[in-house]
Amino acid sequence: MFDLDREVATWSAAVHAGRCQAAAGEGVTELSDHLYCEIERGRAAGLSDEEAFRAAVVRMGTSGELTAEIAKNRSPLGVVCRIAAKLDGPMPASAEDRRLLTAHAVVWATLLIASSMVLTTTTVAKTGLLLILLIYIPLWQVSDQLLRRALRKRPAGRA
Amino acid sequence: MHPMTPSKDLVAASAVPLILSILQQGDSYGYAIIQKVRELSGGDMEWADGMLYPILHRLEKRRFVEAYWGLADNGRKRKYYRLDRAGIEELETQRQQWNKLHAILRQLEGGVPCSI
Repeated sequence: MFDLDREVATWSAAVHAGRCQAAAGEGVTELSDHLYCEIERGRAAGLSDEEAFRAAVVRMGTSGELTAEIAKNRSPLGVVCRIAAKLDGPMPASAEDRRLLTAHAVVWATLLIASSMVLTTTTVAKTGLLLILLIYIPLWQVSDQLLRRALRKRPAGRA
Repeated sequence: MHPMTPSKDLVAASAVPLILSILQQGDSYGYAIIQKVRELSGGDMEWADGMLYPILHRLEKRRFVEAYWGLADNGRKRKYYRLDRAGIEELETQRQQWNKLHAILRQLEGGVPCSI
């Protein structure tokens, strides 16, 4: 049997899956309210719950488009949250996301090994937080953008 | 595409002034804003509904609008938006730009020669 509340919650959560918890929670509530408004309109026009839900989702746009649009608002912390959410969850479904994740793993494993060879324990103890804030987080953002561009340029079909 | 249906680019470019103009008339929320645009355009202006929210959140981030939570008539939690001082200024700037563009188009339509 079609469970409207569950479908609305699942769809709204999927759109905000890569966001930090607080932002995602508010976003989900806001999107859910919108979906329910549109569903109520559909019901008033004589549609069943399921039909009204499907129609409302189509009106919202694809979840891929929405996620891309939401990503434009992402702060550096949001980028870290998104990656953390991805690492925490199952492997991404799309081949592009899996390639991006693998590329990140290789780049950052290399960087961390290089850092451990260059930095002494004393340096890390003194500058640990600064290292993370001033070097690793900006570097993460830059590498994320560069990898995305590089992967986009690769011809389709080449993994 | 119907000749009166604005292109995707025009819809995107006009989204901010439209949202700010609607909020100038009073506090509102996402669904109502979309309905208002649809109603005013006679159904010609079609937004993918979900696209509105990232734009609203950007406006909130830039302090053009302020968001607050309230309750809908049916008791559901709802996020409302109100125009902020910076938003009023931004709206004024955007209106001037659109009016300028409109004036240029009108002049060209009337066959005013270019003064180059």
